[in-house]
Amino acid sequence: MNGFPGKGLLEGLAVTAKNFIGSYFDDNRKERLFTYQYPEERMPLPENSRTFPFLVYDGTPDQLRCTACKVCETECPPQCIYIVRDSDPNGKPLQRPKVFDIDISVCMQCGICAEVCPFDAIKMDCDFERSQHGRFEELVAHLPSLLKSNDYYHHIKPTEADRVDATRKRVKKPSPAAAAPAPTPGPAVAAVLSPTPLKPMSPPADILTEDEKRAWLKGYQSILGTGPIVWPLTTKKIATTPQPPTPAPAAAAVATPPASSLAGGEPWHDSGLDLAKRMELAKDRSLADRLMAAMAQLDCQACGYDCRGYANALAAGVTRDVTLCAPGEDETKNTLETLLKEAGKL
Amino acid sequence: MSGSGLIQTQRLEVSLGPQHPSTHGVFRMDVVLDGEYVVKLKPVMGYLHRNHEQIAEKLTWLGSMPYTDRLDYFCSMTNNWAYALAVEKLAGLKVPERAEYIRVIMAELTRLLNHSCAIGFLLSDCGAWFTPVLYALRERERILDFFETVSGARMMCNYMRFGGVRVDLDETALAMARRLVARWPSFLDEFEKLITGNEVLLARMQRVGILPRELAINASISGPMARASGVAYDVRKVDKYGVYDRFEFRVPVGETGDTYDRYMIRILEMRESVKILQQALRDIPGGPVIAPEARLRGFKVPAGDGYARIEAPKGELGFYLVSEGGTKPYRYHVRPPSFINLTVLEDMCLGHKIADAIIILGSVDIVLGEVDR
Amino acid sequence: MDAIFQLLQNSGAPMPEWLALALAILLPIVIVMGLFLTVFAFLTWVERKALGRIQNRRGPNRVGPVGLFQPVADGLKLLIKEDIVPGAADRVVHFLAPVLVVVPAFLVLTVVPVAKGFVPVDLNIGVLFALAVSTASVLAVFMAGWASRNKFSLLGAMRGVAQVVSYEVPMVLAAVVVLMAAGTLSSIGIVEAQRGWCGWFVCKPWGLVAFVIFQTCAMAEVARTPFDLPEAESEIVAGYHTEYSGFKFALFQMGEYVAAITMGGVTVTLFLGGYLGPGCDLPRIGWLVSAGWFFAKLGLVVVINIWARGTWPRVRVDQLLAFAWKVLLPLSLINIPAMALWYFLPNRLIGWIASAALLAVALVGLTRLNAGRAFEKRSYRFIS
Repeated sequence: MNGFPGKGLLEGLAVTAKNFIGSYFDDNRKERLFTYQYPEERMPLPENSRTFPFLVYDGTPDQLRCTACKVCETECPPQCIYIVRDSDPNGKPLQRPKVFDIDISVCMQCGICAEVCPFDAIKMDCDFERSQHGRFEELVAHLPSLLKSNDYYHHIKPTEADRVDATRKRVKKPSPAAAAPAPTPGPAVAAVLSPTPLKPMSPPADILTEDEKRAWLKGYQSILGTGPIVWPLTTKKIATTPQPPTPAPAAAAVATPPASSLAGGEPWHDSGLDLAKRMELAKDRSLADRLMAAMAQLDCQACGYDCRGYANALAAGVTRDVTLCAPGEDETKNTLETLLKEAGKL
Repeated sequence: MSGSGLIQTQRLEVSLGPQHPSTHGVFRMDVVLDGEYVVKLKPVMGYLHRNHEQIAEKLTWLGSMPYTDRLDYFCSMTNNWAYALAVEKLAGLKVPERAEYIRVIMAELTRLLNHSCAIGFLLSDCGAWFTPVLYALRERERILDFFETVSGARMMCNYMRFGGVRVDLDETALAMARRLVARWPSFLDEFEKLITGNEVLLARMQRVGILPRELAINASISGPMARASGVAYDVRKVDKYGVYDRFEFRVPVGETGDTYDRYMIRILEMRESVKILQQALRDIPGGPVIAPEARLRGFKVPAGDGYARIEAPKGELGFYLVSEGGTKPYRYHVRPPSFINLTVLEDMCLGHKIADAIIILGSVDIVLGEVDR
Repeated sequence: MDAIFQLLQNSGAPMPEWLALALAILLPIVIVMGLFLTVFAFLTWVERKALGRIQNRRGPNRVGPVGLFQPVADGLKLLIKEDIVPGAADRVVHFLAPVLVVVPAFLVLTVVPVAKGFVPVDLNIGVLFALAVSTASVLAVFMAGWASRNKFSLLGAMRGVAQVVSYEVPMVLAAVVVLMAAGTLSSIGIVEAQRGWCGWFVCKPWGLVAFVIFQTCAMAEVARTPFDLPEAESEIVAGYHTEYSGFKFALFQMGEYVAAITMGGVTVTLFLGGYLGPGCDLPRIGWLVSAGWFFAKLGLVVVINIWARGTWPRVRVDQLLAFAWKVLLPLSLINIPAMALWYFLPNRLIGWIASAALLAVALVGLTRLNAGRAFEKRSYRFIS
C-alpha cells in the first residue's frame, strides 16, 4: 500500500470536489456538467441520425418517388412495411402505392429499407418524438403521414440529399410541375426552409409556454413533412389544390426502355401494361424476350439485374431462381416457372 | 436443518430474482446460504431469450445484421464485425484496407465504451452511489455521439456490411474521433485517482471471487476474465484478424484472477485501446470502404460452414454459420462470451459472502442480450 | 426551558402557573422541531443537488425555483401512498417502529445548544443523555425487521443492530476525552470550555483524532455511506424497511436523516466549539451571531457527510465490524492516555508533541496490524 493510510480515500474526495466545483464553471457541456434540460434544450442531432422511415416526393405529394416495387417490404428484417400497389379504374396496375403502412412499433430503425430502395424513395427521418397515446393503430404510420418533400429531406440531411439528387438519373414519371405549380409553402414553412440547412433543434425563443413548445414541435414536423396533402386515392376529384393529371397514361410513354439491341424493340417493356398484354406482345419472340415480358418492367434491380439482364440470365441458365422479381409477385414467378419448364431449363 | 458441530443452523434459500437492482439485465441466481456464506449458486438464464438464431434462419444474410446489434447491446459494432467476418469467410469476400482500419477504430471505441460501462456498473454494485458510473457514462456519451454521426444510431449501429462498412468516415468524423481519443487518457487518470487506490474498494475486491487458471482454461473462459486469471490469450494476437497485426499494442495479463484483477485488467486494456486508436487514426488510408463484389440484395453465400471469432470486449464472440448456397442461412449460431463466462459463477462464489456474489457477478461483465440471445 | 418559565413567571402578565409551565415546555419543542424539520427538508435538497453536481449533472430543478420544493413534493407523495402492512406482521410493533426511529433523533436535540443561551433543557448530564438516547433507535431497527415477518428483513435488521452497537463503543470513548478536558457533562459547559484561541477541541491532536473517530462512528450509527449496509441491503437481501410504504417509510428516512443532522450537532458541540465564534458575545444580537456560527459548523459537518456519500463505495459487513473493533476501538482507547499526557505534562509544548507522537505511533501500528495483509500491490505483465 502506497502512501499513508487513507490516501486513496482522500484522493477520491479530491476528484469529486474538482468535479463539483467544475460543474459550476462548465462552459456549454464541455467537461463537467452534462445535462441537456429536455424538453427546453435538445441535443443537436448529427446529420446521419436515423429513426423512422419516410417517403420522399419531389414537388407535390403526387410526385412521390415510390413505385411500390416492394423491395423495402421484402428486405425489411422485422417485416414492418405493408404495401399495396394502386391501380386505375380499369384494374391496370399503377406505379405508385395505394397503401403504404409502416408499423413504427415494429420498425427497428435499421435503415435497410433506405439502403435497398432502387428509387431513393424511402429515406430515414430523424424525428424521435413519436409517442402516441395508444399502442396499436396509433403507432402505424400511413401513407399521408409518411410523405415528406425533398425540401424537407434537404433540410434534415443536406449532404445526403445533394448526393441523391446528383445521382438520380432515372425519371419514372414526367414532372407534372409544368402542369400544376407546386403549392407555395406558407410563411412559417418558408422561414424554416431557409437556404442554410438547419437541424431540428430547439423551438424559437419567443415560444415560451410548455404547450406552445409542444404544439410548435408537432406543427414543425407536420408543416414541413406532409404539406397540403391531397392524395387521390379514388378518382373523385377533391377540389382543394389544382390536381395534376393522373400520371398513369404518361407513365406508358415515359418508361424508358434500357439499351436493347434487339431488332423490333421491346414493346412489352412498359410497366403500365398488365401481364397478359405483355405476354401477348412477346409471344413470338425468343425465350429471353418472353421471360423478360413476364417481369414487372420496372428495371428496379430488385432481382440484382435490370429486366433484360435477369431475363438473359435465366435464359442462359446462369441463375435458376424465379422468385427474384419482387414487384412482379406471384404472377411473374409462376409465369417464369412455366416458361422455363416448357423450355426444359428448370 | 443442517447441523455442524454444536450449533444447529438452517440454510437459507434466496432467489436473487430477475428484477435485479444491479444493472445486468433479467438474470436470476438461486443462492443457498449458510448464515452469511454462499453454499450453492445456480444461475438461471433465459429471461431475455428472443429466438435470435431461429429468426436468422428466416431472414436473408443482411437482414440478420440489425439483429446482431441487439445481441450484446452495449457493443453493437463488434457484434456486427463478428458476423460480417463469418459471412466474408464463407463467401470469400475481401475487405478493402480503409474499411479494415475503420472496423478497427470502431471496435476499439466499442471496447472503450464497454469497459468504462462495465467498471462503472461494478463500482455501483460496490455501493459508490453512481458517481463513477456517471463519470464513465459522460465519456461514453462522446463515443455514442460519434457513432451517431457516422452510422446514424447511437447503439444499434448496423454499420458493418459484408465486404466493408456501410458509410465512409469523412474528415469531420475523423477529427471528432481524434478529439475524443485525445481526452481519454486524462479521463482514465482521473478515474483511477478516484477509485483505484480507494482502500474501501481494495478491501472489497481483493481476494474475492478468485478464478483459478486451470478452471478458466477448462471452462473456455475468454476475454478480460481469462486474462485476469493468467491465461495469456487474446484473439487479436492469436488470429490477427483484420489489420491488428499492424498495430503495436500490448495485452495485460493478471495473476490472481480475483475481482480486483478483472477490474484492473479492464482499465489497462482501455489504455491499450487508446494506443491502437491513435495509431489507426493516424495511419488510416484512403480508398473504397466496401468490396466491389458485395451486394445488398440477392446476396448468396456459397454452401459450406464456417466459424469466425473476434475479441469482443467481453470475450471471444464467435459466429458459426452453415450455408446451403442460398440467400438465407441454414443454421446460425452465436457463441456468446457472457454465457460461457457465466458457467463458472458458482465456482467463483462458493465460500464468499452474499454481498461478494453481487460484485463477482459484476466483474464477469455480462449482458443478458448476449447470454440469452 | 427553565428560562422561559422564569420569564413568564416574572413578567407581570396574569398567567396561571400551569399555563406558564405548559408554554415553557411547548415553546422550545415547537421552535426546535420546526427549526430542525426545516433544516432537514433543506438539507435533503442540498444533498440531492450536491450529489448531482458531483456527478456532473444538475440535481432536481423542476419543482419550484431551483427545485427547492422537491422535499415538499417527496413528502406529499409518500403521504398519499397506500399504507401496506403485511398480513402476517405484528401490527403494533410494525406501527411503532418508525415512531421509535424518529423520536430519539429529536430527543437528542434537547441538549444541543443551538445558540448562546438557547438550549431547550440545560441538563447537567447532557452528553450522557444524548449518547444514551441516540442509541435507542437501534431498537426501532430491530422492531422493524422483526415485525415484518420476513426472513430477509430480520437478517438485515440484525446486521443493522450489529453495526450500530459496534460503533457505539468507540463513539463514547471518543467523547470521553472531551469530557476529560471540559470536566463536565453539560453540553453548555462543554461549549464554554472551548473558548479562547485555538480552544476548539478539534484543534488539539487528541481532539482531532477524537473528532474523526466520533464523526465516523456517527456516520455508521445513522447508516450513511460508506456504512449504509442496512439500507443497501436491499441490493442484496431485503433490508429492514422493505415492508414499509408510504408515510412510515418517509418516517424511516426522516429519522435517519434527522439523526445524521443531530449527531452532526453533537459533534459540533463536542469538538467544533458549538456556537462559539467571533461576535457571539455581542450585547443584543450575540445570540443570532452564535446561531449563525452553529449552523455554519453544522453545515460543514453535513457537507462532509454528503461528500463522503458521493465518493466512497460501501464496506462489507464483516469489514465494517472489523474496522470498528480492531481499529477505532484501540485508537480511541489510546487517545485517552494521549489526552492525559497533553493535560498533565508541565510544559504545554512538550505535552502537544508527546500526545501527537503517541497518536501517530498508534495509528501506524494499527494500520500495520490490520491492513498489512489485505491491500496488496499488484503487478501485471504484458504480452505484445
